[in-house]
Amino acid sequence: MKLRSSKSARGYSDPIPVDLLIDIFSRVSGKSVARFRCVSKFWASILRRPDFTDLFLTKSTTRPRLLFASLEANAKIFFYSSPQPQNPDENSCQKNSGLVATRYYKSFPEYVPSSYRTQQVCGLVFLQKWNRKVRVICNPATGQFLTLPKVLLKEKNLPKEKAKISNPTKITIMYLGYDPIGKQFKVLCMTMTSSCDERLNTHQVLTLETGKRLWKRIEQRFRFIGNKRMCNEVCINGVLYFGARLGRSSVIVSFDIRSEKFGFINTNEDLGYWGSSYVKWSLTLFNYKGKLGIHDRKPRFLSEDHFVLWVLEDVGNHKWSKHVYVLPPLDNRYWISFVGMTSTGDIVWSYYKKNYVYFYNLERKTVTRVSIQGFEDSAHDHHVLVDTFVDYVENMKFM
Amino acid sequence: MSKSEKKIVLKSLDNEAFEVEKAVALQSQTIWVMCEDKCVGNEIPLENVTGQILAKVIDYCKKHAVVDGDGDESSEELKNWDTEFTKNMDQSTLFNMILAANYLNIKSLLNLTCQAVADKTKTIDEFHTFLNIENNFTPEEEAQICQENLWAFDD
Repeated sequence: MKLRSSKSARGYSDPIPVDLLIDIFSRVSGKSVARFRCVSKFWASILRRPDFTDLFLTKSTTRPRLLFASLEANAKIFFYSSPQPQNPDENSCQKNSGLVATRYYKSFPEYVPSSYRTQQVCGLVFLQKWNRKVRVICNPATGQFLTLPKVLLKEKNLPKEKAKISNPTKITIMYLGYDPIGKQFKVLCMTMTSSCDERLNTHQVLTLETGKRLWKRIEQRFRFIGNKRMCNEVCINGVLYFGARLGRSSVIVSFDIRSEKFGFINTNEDLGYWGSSYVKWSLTLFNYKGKLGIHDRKPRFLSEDHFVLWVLEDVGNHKWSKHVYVLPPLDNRYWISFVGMTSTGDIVWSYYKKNYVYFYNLERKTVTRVSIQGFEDSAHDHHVLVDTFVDYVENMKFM
Repeated sequence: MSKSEKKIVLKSLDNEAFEVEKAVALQSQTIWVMCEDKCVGNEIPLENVTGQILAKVIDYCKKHAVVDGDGDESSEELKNWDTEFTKNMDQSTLFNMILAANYLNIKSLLNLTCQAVADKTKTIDEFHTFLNIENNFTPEEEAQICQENLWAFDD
């Protein structure tokens, strides 16, 4: 250890114990952590230790943040982040005013999370694209990214003539989840099969740990059909939720990251596939203060200026509560997309062509527009705000 | 309870004595445990804290003993008071306050002072002077680690 005590420098002879220093540096920004890793060997190792990076996730005073994925002229994705305003409408000077987002150093090529909204999970972002086989998990704060290993889909135990039927199993979608107790990230790979053979339908899971990363088949099997009404997944307290289709109704599949077990939650019939009139991607799953929420953009029997929030009140009994709201005045409804809810309970929308973020206070029914500045290409209209994430935390852990 | 039982005397490392209300002193978990165990009389020697620092700690505890339990209005005021309290403290005072808050086990004061140091440490130079750490990287190692963390230096 190279902590020298020196009366002349500090006027004090006792050095501060290392545990207190760790406490102090868990409070600075991610950028400062990266700087301080260059200070000495001792500090480089301390500030990389899991106990430090875990503490940083819960203590850093730069939390919570807004994270933006911006697609810029060179077809690269850049991440920006800004502080997330707390109670934005209480402070009149913030009203209609700007927040400055700063760009993270590294860009990530081409893996635009298009058509599927990709969730930010505990500081990591999963980028995947329908027509690309490569999937990447990146950490905007450290600039690190990880290409996932290939999933082996071939069934070894099948008789030859069956295996010949042009590889019947396909990857449908992958989801990223985080177990806050075991402090592990896992990727779930959902598969589908054209064959009716139940044995073929095996989903797989990958743990993001150091060393060799291997996909592992999950014992529990079920026939997964994607839900075209639900556009995303959400991970809340170690459980991943995503939609599936069961006949004409929608179900929510839960996946416990720690135990790797699936569960199924029925939804209200309003969230199912009624006739042929369902609207694609109109339902968004989100974290409603620790509970599972569903935002319905095109609620049944209601006019366009309403939106509905469903909240899962009782998982065991599949009990949902329904909350109807009138959409507040926003600049342009067509280009506005629902982002989620902040931990303080504000509903957030973003206007991706204008760099606006709206905060709607459900109790006071007030909406605050905040313009986000700092996008480098925005003057030339070259950038497209691809995605906005709330409650982002900088994760300084190396994958 | 008689008047004398409500008061307590704290004695610093350099033998400075401070008479304070018990309620003020008991915000320190360390003192609270000492009183509970009845292992001390009415005078508590604090061998790790100088009089200069102890006076400041007592100021903090007095402020927080008065305001705690009041409504929301005062919590805002208290926050501002806390900010002012650490704003003009020099480095060595802040460090000594951290050590005192740690020794006396006053969680909120420890939080406040750790945060104040964190807020004042942004550049590598500040880190070096604050912690008095020498750079023991070889030039190659330093180049490599700075390359890894290059993004942190671009402003």
